[in-house]
Amino acid sequence: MIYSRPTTRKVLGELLQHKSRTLLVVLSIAVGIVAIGAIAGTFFVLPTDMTQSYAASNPANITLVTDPFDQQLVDDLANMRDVGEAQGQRDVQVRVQLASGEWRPLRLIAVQEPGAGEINQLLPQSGAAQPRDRELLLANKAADHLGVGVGDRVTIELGDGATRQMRVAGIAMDVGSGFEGIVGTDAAYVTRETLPWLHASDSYNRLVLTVAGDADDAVHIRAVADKVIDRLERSGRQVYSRSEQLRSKHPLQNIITALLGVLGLLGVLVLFLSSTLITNTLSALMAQQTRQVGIMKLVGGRRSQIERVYLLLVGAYAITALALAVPVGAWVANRISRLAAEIINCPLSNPSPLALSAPALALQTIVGLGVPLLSALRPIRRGTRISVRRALSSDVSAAITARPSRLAHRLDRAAWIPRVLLIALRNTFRQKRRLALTLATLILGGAIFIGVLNAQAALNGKVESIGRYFGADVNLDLAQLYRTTRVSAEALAVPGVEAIEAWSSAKAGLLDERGNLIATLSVLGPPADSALVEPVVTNGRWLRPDDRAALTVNEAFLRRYPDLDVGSTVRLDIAGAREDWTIVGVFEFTGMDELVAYANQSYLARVLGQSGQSALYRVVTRAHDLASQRAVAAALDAHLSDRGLRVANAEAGLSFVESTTEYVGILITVLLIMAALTAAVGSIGLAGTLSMNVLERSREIGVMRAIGAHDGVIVSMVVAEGLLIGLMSFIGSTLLALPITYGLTQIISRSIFGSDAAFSLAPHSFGIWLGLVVLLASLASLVPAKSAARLTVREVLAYE
Amino acid sequence: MVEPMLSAAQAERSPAEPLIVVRGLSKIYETAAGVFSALRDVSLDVPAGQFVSVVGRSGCGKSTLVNMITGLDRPTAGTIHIGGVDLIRLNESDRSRWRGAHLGIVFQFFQLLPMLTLQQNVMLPMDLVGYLPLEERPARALALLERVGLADEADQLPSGVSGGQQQCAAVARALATDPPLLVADEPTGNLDSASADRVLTLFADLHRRGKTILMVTHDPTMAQRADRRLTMNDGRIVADDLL
Repeated sequence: MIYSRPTTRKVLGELLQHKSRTLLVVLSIAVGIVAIGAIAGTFFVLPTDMTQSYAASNPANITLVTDPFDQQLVDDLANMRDVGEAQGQRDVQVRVQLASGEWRPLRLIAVQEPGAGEINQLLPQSGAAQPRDRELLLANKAADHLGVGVGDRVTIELGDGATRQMRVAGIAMDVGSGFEGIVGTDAAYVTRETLPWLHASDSYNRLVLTVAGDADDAVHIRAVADKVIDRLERSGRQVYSRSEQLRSKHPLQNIITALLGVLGLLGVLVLFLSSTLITNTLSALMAQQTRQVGIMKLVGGRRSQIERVYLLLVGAYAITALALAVPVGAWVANRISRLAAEIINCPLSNPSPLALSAPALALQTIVGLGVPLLSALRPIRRGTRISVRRALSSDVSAAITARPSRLAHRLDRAAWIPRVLLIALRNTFRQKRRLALTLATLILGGAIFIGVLNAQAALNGKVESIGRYFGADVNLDLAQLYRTTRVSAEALAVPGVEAIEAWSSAKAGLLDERGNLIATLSVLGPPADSALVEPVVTNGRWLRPDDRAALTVNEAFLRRYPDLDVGSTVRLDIAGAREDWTIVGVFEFTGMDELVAYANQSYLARVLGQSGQSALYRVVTRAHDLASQRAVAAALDAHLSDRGLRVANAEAGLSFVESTTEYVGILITVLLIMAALTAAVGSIGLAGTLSMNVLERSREIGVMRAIGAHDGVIVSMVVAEGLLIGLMSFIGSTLLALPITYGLTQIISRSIFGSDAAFSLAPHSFGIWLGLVVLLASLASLVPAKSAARLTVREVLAYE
Repeated sequence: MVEPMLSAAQAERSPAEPLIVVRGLSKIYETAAGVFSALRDVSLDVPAGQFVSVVGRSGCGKSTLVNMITGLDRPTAGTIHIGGVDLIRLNESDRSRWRGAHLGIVFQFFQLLPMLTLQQNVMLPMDLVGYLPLEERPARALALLERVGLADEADQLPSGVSGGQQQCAAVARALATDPPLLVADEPTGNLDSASADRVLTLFADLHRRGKTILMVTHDPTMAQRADRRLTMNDGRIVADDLL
């Protein structure tokens, strides 16, 4: 107890009298806690909110597309054993006119009572929760995209060219919209009674169901789906597609889990960096305290007592850092969570910008207090072990070797190196452990930064590779079948149009040996000589003009059905025509594990009974930039509509690439925030190292001042040291960036696209980091350099 | 900018002109304990080529006076001209530049840079002020080390030689740019008697070669080796004796 007051006063004195040092140590600790808070806050909040809000919406476990049916069938199915609830839906494709006059496709989903259904419940955002007849309940993303608000009246163009004015009654969130909600067509909800007014049948064509019992048991769900399909087929209806989904598995859960995994990994790295930074700073602090340790020992202080003093000091630093970092970490976590929530369309349980997650706070507290105290333990034990005589002697920090190292000798022979630079070089390597830790933080920060930018380049490359299958400048979808010769002639009359191809497409049912539907796939039929598909064939070959009932399939087929390969035959049901098709090739195609196949247009059209006709056209324009594509799309729309051809959608080809690239860009932004945090840790580490070096070498700087070193010499010496460390770290970062690039690219690519992306090194990523590290090193050196230049000789040598 | 300064040769040609001119020098330190006058209205002329010792008890102001003359500290009042240069008008950075070219300093604790060899320590002031062409500097440093008896230790780091040798190296460093004025603050205070004698012999030799030397010491026998002795007490010069 006798030491309690002086101890407290010493700790307070160290905190308050050495403000720059306190700031440095507190920042070193705080930056790590901010990163942990940002990651942990996101990690603990987002998946929980996502899963809970999805489960709370009572998502459909089974979705079936079938022949038209009425409410009576829905009620009958709802009474089946093992079926929970059932709901009928009908999709109507229309177009909506924007304020600019441009037309955009809109998917109207008609249900019995939109906004009041028990399945796929919508979360009201604004306006009415339920639309009345002839009103729209707009999905929140659609409202954002279209720039439409509650109460606005919008013009809708129906499939037959008629138009309708509809009022937006409310805006609601569909938390289960998944990937479709990100890149798919905008959606709105209408009552079933509105359907005749929209010139559409008021019968349903899609059935959504929940299962009674365990809604997270895939086997159970599949068995219930089989029973329902059996019942539908017995009623004379054909089922065209089926999909099953677990109740507690959000459609985008895999993506989010993978991304949070990456963030978690970055968090661990930042934690490691932060702890090395703290160790570094506290080691230097203890080195500066040697004389004081000696004095305390001289007046009777026991080692354990002195250790307690310094642990108390470190505790005070940590608590200060924690107080500063927790709100900042929470703010960053909420920004990331909000960004992610907006992308995946999920509400946050606590949207406050400073909402604290209890587990994140606990983790921050454990890390914020534990890491500094643990990191400090070794330097403190080492520092307090020193004998009184040695602690009080003036040669504690003197070099112990008598001769310079071999490297120093070699450098000395390089007469062209100015002595000041030589001193900077030597200074850099004097505290090897400190240098190693500083380099480690900078190298890791740089490697993550470069890795994230490389991953972005690789993923953009991946998106472009998807574009190889969508090479058209304008995708023109007509509301009905037209003679291909007529459409082609009209389209080619539009200025800017160079070529046009008629395609066919169909949803096909994949059947098992007994003829039961086991999966649904999309079959695309480009002309045999199409210039708009540049496939990457990984096995077998691409389609030939003389192919009949031949398919090329994407890799998802082989993943889902490993027994299938080139030469295998599959039985497909296309528009009721059941036929065996031969797989002639496998192509690389990225797309959420969906089954996609290509067939010759002429053969597919014949199967569909659409020979010489098509509703699907792919247009090549003279200029290929997005603006030109959009202009031609609008011109095509207007021209064909004038000629009495009903256009369902005319969209620029780059729109998909643009929206996907934007989506990837958002993910990369989140990762870049983390990379910036690691870079911040690195630069603070460098600034700290240089400040400590300057502090320790004050006497040397004073001596140099005494013998003629002016401000420029002192500043350039410190900046040269900082730049040297920065450049050394750059070399390390470029090497470490290679595995990090690979890991990040594949994790993100697999989570988004379901397949690997080609390893890619973007030269700009290295260039940007080199520029940044030079800038950061210069900035980090500037403050220590200026404080070094401010040292007066008398102050520095006063203690002698 | 550093103003032109008299070279050693010029100083020798006009010995009657004082190299150091100090007028009304005062230094007041304001500390938590109160106001303390370290120097009180000190005036002093030192002609070029003189070997002056400054003696007095601890705290009498002798080191403060030397700090003012070397430009290591600024006075509260008064003027200091060295070789015609008004030190008060120079900022910290320019004073450093001026010192490098015109002044050699020897400290009690040697103050060699620990990561440089003795030869590099001696070359450092030449690099800082651009004295001599680059290729001539190593030879001059070696010659100076030879003069102080350390040619064989030129490649050693300071920690590899004795305290006396370090101080001799510090003297060699002080001579690196051939300054006309050498200032030493207790140069033998941290040395055994043999080493101290060696350093003083060096000073006597430099004095014979025309250097102006100002040496602070608390040891009366050391002070006897100079040709003028200033005695300080309570911030004032209380005796000025030619020996």
